[in-house]
Amino acid sequence: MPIEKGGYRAWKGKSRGLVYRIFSIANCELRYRLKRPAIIVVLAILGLYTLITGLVPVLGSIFGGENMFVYDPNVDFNQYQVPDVVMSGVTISNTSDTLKQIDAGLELFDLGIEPGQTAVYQLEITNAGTRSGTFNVMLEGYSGSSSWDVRLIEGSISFDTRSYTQPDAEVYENDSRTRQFDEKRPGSESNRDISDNQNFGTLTLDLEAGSSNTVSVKVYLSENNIGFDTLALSISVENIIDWNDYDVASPTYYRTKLRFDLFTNITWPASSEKPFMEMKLTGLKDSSGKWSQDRINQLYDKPPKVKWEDTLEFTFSIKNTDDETIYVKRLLDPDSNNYDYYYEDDFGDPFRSGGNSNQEETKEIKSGGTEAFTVYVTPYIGKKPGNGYHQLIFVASDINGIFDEDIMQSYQERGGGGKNLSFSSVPYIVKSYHLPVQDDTAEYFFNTFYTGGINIWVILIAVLGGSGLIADDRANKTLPLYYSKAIPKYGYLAGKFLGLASLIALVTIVWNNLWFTAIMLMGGFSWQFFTSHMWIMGAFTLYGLIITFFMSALVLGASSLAKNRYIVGASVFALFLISALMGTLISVVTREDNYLMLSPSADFIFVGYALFDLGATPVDWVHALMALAGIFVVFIGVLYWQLVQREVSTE
Amino acid sequence: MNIIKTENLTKRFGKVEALRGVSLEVGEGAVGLLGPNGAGKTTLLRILLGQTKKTSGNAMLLNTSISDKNFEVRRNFGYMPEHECLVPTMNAVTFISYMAMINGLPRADAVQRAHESLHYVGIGDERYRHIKTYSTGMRQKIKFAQAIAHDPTVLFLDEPTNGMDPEGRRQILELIKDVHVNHGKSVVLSSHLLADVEAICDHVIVLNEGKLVLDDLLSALTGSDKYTLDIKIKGDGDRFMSVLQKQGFNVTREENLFKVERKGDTLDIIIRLCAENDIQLRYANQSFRSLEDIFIDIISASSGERDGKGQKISSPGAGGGSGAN
Repeated sequence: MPIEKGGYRAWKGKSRGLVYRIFSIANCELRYRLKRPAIIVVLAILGLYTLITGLVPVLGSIFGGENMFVYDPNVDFNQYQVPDVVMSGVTISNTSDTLKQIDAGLELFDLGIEPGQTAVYQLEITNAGTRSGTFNVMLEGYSGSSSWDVRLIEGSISFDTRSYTQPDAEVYENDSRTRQFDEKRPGSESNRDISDNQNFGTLTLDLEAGSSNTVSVKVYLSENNIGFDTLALSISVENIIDWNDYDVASPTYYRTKLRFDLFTNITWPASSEKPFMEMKLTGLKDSSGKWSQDRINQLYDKPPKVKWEDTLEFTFSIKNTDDETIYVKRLLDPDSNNYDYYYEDDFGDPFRSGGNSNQEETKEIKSGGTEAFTVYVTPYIGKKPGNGYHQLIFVASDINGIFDEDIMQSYQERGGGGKNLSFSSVPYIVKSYHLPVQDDTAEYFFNTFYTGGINIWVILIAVLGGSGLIADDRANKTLPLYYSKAIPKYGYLAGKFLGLASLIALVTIVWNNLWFTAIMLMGGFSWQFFTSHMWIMGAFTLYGLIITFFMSALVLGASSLAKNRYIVGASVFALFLISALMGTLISVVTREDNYLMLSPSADFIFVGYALFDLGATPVDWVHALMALAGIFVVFIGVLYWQLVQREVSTE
Repeated sequence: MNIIKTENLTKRFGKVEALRGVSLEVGEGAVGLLGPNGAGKTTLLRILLGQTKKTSGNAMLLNTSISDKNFEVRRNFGYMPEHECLVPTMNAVTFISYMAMINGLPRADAVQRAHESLHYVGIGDERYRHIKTYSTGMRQKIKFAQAIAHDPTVLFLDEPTNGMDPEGRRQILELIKDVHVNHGKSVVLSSHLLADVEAICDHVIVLNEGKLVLDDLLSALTGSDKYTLDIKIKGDGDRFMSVLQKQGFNVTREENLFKVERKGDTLDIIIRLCAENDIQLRYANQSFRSLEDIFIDIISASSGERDGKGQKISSPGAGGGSGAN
């Protein structure tokens, strides 16, 4: 039977160039891979996952629930012309201090009272906005440490009701225009302590635009209260705003907060009965000059008032009273706290090391020996409002170089393991915007789409779509056929890379940006909020590109080393798993965070935190990025060797 | 124009020398690349197509030096490998259009050519099936279809009938002959099936142990003057052998069968010699030399030459590189 022929026909078209051919490989691979059942299933699950996670804020917004994206320091609320509160001044009754223009900037005033003094703080609250508004006025108390005997013997707050237009307003707990501090707190055996955060009461004020009210707080500090930590009161004013009226994102209110420390000191615990090191403060200087020894001796009784941004020079001598050689080092501000909800703790390190007190230095002191340390301390709060206190701790150990918490605790129990220089140097006033939040918007998106650093979906898609890209060509012996076509070897590689990268980018870049846009547009958010957060799309894109390039090189490189796609896929998963375990294990054992870089997953977290502006990470993001780049280069090298340099095998 | 030109082309795989200074020129037409297994045929093709790097020497395709940088020249070539090379989970149309696009065909053209090629090779009705469901013969046809889909000017066919049943083999050979004869494609047919080469090619290149041992027109090897006379006699065979050799005939003897290489009116001379020497001529028949005969002769001769005990290849034009054009 003669062969059935459709007839051979010559082709007269114009051949396309190299770029088209490379894209053809990418295009064909992408289309081919997208039809694979496993990939369809994963994409479907991913779609469901993002649908659910995306719908939460959308539904929350629609049904009036609290929105996830609330707190965002980048939003300039002034542009929304909301009722605005201004605390225009503080008057303290028993001093000549009268503070004005609190909102004008971050001026820090000495509002402190000393034991035995009484002060009445009066703050004028003005609605400086263009609309009338409702405000909550709240009084809270703070103490730096619950371990100290912190009590206010007397004291009261009262709200001046001259302009109080809403007498039936809701008031927390036992509503009172005047409230005594010595009322017993629920659950507290002490009836007068404010040894941790306490809300004393809240009143609601209605203020017309431009009108004012006055809040007064009267405080008496017992003479017995010395030698303890910071004691502070704060008056907060919250704007109660329905943001749906203002076409902005969904914060329900924000708060202007005035915090002032009533009392502060430098704590200097007495030596223990059986110290193994004896530590003495031998010198203290500030900008006024060297303090006398008498003044230093008064530290316990009469705490110094330290000027903000003044530099103090502390000189210590530490004597080893133990039988063994001890090793002493200064810890860097280990217990620096950010008490409040201020949006950025920008203290930095208030300690400047000097002389031989470099914090990294471990100093050896033989039994009976004495060494001197000098530390410079400059309390400052940087560019933005902040709060907190710092501790200066010298710790000693008889095991060279090992200063862990257990050992410190052990020495402290022995009475001398650490000496704390704890201070919140200056009573100060800070105005801050505070919004009741769950997550930062960027953090929400980062966590939603990149949980665990590199999302499991990305690995799944990369493995399902990429593990067979070259391995299958080797198994099917298709590689020689590709190389016989009018395309260079690097063109084949580029096409495969592009195909896989496109697939991964679908998940890392396209998908996430689409969802971000959908949530922003459908979630009840304002256009302003959307535009002010568009940078997150840039972060998604850049982060997605990094992940896409890395994963493409990794999976393709692995794929070029085997003929079995399942082995390739398992190897990639094993690489992530083992590297994560190794990195964590080694970093724990060596106490060196840099070993976390061994794990690409961790590296992605570090880089992601930088790109999404989520704060510091244990490893510098630049180093993490370099680690990823190093792995990327290695696998590109593998690909080059396997596909360009090596002979094509048909075995 | 030369399709292939090599000068002293050498390829080593470690200590193994797969090609040993091969110099040849191949013009347009149908060229058979012959040789026993391991002769270097596939290695030569793979070097020419850029899959394997040469160790030394020069090689050119269409007067363009082979190099990954000169990949564009491969646009003119279609390659049908000997081994499996298909993606089992793709359908034939997708696979062939994919391959055509890599050669630069626009997508629409590539898809159309894929359909046409598959119809042309006779599996148009089954073109949407996954390749893994095809028989060996059908896969060979798909390999052939992908080689012609981008309409190349030259086809490199490596063992195209490998593993096929007689009918499938006939069909493939018919297709090859069609594209060569009716559509002007040059064909380089690498095979150890001499009949395939004989059916298609007008030029033969023989490699043995990495060396070029024959490069000639097929007609020059198997033409009408290239046959022998098979003679049987009654009488003294030794004396008859002696008489023939004295006359200058090239004779081989297998018991009572004398194979005499024909030179002009050989039969008349033999009849006369038998009469003169009182030898009874019982049987005379002319026997043409097949390519297989020539191939075996050449291979055994070249192998013997390497071993130092063989004879020189006597075939005309052997190693001459005269080309087929």
